[in-house]
Amino acid sequence: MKFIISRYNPESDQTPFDQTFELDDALLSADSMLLDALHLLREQDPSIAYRSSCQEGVCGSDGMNVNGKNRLSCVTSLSELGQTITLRPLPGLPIIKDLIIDMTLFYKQYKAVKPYLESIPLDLEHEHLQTPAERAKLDGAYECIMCGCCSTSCPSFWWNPDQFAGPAALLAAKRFVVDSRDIKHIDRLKELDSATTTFRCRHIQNCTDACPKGLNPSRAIQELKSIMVKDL
Amino acid sequence: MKFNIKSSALSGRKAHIWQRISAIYLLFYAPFLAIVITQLPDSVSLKLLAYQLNTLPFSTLFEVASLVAVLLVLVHAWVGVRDIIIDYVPRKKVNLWLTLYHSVLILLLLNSIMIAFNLFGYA
Ligand code: SF4
Ligand code: SF4
Ligand code: FES
Repeated sequence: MKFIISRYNPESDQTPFDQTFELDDALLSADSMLLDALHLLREQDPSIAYRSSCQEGVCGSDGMNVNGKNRLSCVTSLSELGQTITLRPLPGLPIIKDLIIDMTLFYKQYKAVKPYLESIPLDLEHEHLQTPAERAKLDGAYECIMCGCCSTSCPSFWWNPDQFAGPAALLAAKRFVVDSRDIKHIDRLKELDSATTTFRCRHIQNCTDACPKGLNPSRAIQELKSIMVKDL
Repeated sequence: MKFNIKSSALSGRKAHIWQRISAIYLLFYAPFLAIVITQLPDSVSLKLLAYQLNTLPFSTLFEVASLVAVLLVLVHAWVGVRDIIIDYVPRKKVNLWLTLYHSVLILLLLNSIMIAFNLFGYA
C-alpha cells in the first residue's frame, strides 16, 4: 500500500512537500484503520507528525485530509481508500508540522459563540429539567467533537476564518439558541446577526459532507437563520 | 443615502429577508410581465409603447407593479452582489467596492424614476 504524505517542518522547510511511503500489506488486516497504518509508518520514520488520542472517533484530534476529503483517521477504514492514499493536513489553517494544524482561529470562533448554558441561577437541590420534546431539539447539535473537519472544508471559512464563525461554531451556537433553559436567546441571536458571520454561510454543504459524526451543520445554520427571522 | 459603506456594518438578517421578499415578488411579476408583453402590438418606439400600455385595461396596476419590480430588482441585486463582493474582493478593497457598487445602484434607481416619469408622467 502506498502513502503520499504531506511533510512540513517549519525549522527546515520553506513549503510543504510530498513524501511517498510504502507499507507491506502483510502488516495490515481487513479491519485496519488509517490510524493503524500511520502508527506503522511512524515506526519507519519517527519524524512523521500527526495528532491522535482516543483512537475511536471520540476526541476529535486526528482530523486530516484523506484522498481529498476531511476525515478522522481512527474511524476511516483502509479498505475504503484504495491502494494509494494521499494524506494532507486539514486545509485552510496554518500548518504546525506535517499533518498537525494550528486550530487557534477555529477555537476562537467557537469561544465567540459562548458555547455554554446561560440560565437562571440554579437551585442546586434540584435538576434543571426539560421536557423530552425540549431535550429532543438538542439532538444533532450536541454530539460535535470539535474535530474541525467541517470548518476546514468550508470555503467561507477558508477565506475569512477570522470573521466567519464556521460550521462547527454555528452548530454550537444553534445548540444553545434552541436550549429551553438558556435565557440569553435573543442576545445570542443579535450577536450572530451579521453579514459576515452567520449569513456568510452559502449552504454549499461541504461541512455536512465532511462531518465524521454524521452531523448536519449546514441545516443547523439554515435553522439558525430561520430562528433569527422569526424571533428577532 | 450613504456614501461610505462598511462591510462590518452590513446587515445579515434584514438583507436575508429582503432577498426573500424580492425573489418571491419577482417570481410572480415575471409571468405578469410576460402576459402583458403578449398583449402588446409590435411597437417602434418607447413613447408609443408607453401609450399602448396606457390603453390596456390593467395599465395602472401594471405600471405600479413594474415600478415596485424595478425597486425590488435593485434591492435583490444589492444583496446578491454585495455578498459576492465581501466574499471575493481582497479585504482592504471591500469597502471601496461596496461604496462604488452602492452608488451605481443609486444612479440606476434615479434613472429608472426619471424614465418612468418621462414615459408615464403625462398620464
Ligand atoms: S454550508 Fe455553510 S458552513 Fe457549511 S461548508 Fe457551506 S458555507 Fe460553510
Ligand atoms: S460538526 Fe462534525 S465535522 Fe464539525 S467539528 Fe463537529 S464533529 Fe467535527
Ligand atoms: S483519535 Fe480521537 S477521534 Fe480519532
